[in-house]
Amino acid sequence: MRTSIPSTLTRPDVRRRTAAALAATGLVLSVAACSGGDEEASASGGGGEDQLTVEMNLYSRSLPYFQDFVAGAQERAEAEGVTLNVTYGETDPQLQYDQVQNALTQSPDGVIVVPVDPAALIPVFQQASDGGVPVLTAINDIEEDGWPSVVGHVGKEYTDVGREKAQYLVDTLGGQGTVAMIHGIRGLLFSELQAQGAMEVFAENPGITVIDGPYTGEFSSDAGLAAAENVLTANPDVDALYFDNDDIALGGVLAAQQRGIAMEDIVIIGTDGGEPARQAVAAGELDMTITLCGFLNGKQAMDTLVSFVRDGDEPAERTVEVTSQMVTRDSYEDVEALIASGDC
Amino acid sequence: MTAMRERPVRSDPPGERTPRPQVRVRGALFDRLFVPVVLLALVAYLSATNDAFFSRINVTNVLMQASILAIVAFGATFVIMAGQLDLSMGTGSALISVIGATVMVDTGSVLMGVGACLLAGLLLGLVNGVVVTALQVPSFIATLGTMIICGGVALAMTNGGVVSGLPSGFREVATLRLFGLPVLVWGTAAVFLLLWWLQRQTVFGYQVLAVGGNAEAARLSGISLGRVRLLVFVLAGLATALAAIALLVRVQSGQPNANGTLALEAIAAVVVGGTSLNGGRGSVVRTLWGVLLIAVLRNGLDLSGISEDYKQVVLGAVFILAASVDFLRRRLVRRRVTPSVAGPALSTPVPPDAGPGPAVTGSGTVPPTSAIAPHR
Repeated sequence: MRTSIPSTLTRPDVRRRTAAALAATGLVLSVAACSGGDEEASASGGGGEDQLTVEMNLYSRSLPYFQDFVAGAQERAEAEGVTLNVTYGETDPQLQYDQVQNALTQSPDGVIVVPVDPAALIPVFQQASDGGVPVLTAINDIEEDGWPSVVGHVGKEYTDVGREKAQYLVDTLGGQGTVAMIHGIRGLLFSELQAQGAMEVFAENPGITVIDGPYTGEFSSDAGLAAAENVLTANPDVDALYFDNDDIALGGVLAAQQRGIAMEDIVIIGTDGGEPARQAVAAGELDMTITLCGFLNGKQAMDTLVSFVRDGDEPAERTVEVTSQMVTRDSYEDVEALIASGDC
Repeated sequence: MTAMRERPVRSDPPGERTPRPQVRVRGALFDRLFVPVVLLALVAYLSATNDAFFSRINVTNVLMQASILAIVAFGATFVIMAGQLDLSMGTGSALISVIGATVMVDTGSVLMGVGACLLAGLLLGLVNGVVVTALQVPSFIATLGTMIICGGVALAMTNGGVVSGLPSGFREVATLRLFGLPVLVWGTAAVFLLLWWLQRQTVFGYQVLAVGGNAEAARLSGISLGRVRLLVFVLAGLATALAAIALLVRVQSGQPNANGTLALEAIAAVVVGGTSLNGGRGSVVRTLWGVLLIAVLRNGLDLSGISEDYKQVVLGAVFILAASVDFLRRRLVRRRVTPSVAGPALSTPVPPDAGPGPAVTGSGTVPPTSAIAPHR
């Protein structure tokens, strides 16, 4: 049931981060308090109270972002005396439906779900709400029909991420240039919503020519490399490569290097801010990536749910916004510090 | 003999009911040249419509993009010719790339990393082979199991993140070029030649076809079914390891999420090339054509910039079209053969191809057991 937790803790960087974060518990509590005024009482009064059980179901294991989310939620769960059980939907809405339904039979005190699909889980959320089990969605929001059945949502809109990335490109290129977009997985909210947000910004900037490139089909550098090679062959004078994920963006860096393009002459951006990508930013290969702060997001989700279960505090807004951090060569060190302290 | 009567599809008593050689040659020629001709037509079309296609850099790109699929598909050819399937090659290669990268990062030694990759591939192949032969688990299920396990272990080792920071010596290997082509392309060519030799010039190569064509007949002629089946999985495991090394060379990092659909693509490449999914008929050369067709098509579709959704439709349609040539070939033969003979003669196994190269002449010194070669 909790199989993922030990493996998460065996990773040196995660272990380091968790230790650092535990050492800074006071800071953690103040951050939690900052995220909503009502939570202060519950956050400081937590710990020794009644034992809660929270079932958490995630989108998939396949990205470090989700593992960071689990680690953040786990840290807060330990501090609050919550037993956390984690299952993974493996990007399959049907599997996730079954898993959440199974989780409900354990009569948990609350459920946190990162939905694969915005609509598929609404019936099972309805069922949970009828049975008096509070459900919180995180990272991916659900359609409005389902909102009455859930406590709220913790996360950042992917469309906003796409807008920020596109704005970064527009600013960096000075409003003039050709941008090739290389997408991740067709139909995946993460890929599609980012692209949608980015397209809105590009449409407002007539100086930017967009080449709507291929989908790589998977988040691996090899797939990103092949796609970027083909895009650069078909359009040799692009000024920027937009990727919706870092793993494929790192493939794009290789493609540009193999073509003999100097790293200063092309802007390459991704999303996720994992360690290899941050190193690539520091080395001047990747120009920008956005980290969605999975660790912080996980902590906020757990705190929001626990304060609702213990004290009935509803989130002030339906959506609890999560900060993201843009990682560029300038901001790189600041973000590293935030991550080390568990604040991202 | 009972077994033969049960599976008349595979039985081909020599001298009896064998259609006239001329007819078989025509069918076989059509069968053998179909994919290469489609490939040439595609290349001609793409060269005519897109200036970038036949550029030196794009040709290199296509070969590089095809290399990992090619290595895996060459290994899969033996598995499929033996009448088995190996679904674990995709996630297996992802896991092995993670293992290799981790060992290289931890020890700083490229050789240790490569050794770890080969060892892991050997182990994966042995596990698949033992589960299939000793436990009698159908290979589809056995390798589906190892496929899922490999994916899980790769994610557990990395949390889904890539393993980067390989030794600088390894990076130099990646950028090395011989006669204008990257080392990876030469490596893939070497794997092709080795496996081609293994298939055409060794007893093992013919035993694989024999076991896949008619297991009972092969057993009765003294071939150890278990040994041959175990060996094809070990071969596939080693091919998986080589694909993992190719992946490391190509992207300089261990990739837990890579190659999710590679095993299926490899099976598609093998079948599109003309190797029978039922076993007993096929060749590594055919697989080479299948791989090149898929790689050129993918590249061409990317260059053309058509919508992603239609790309998938085109790709699927080409898979079906290329694989249906087997049926067309049989129709071609049927039209030329008298009805009374048609039935059993249609399904006589076709010999392994001599391939496009001049190197191999006829079936050589090794007597094939079930695939009786007709003389042209």
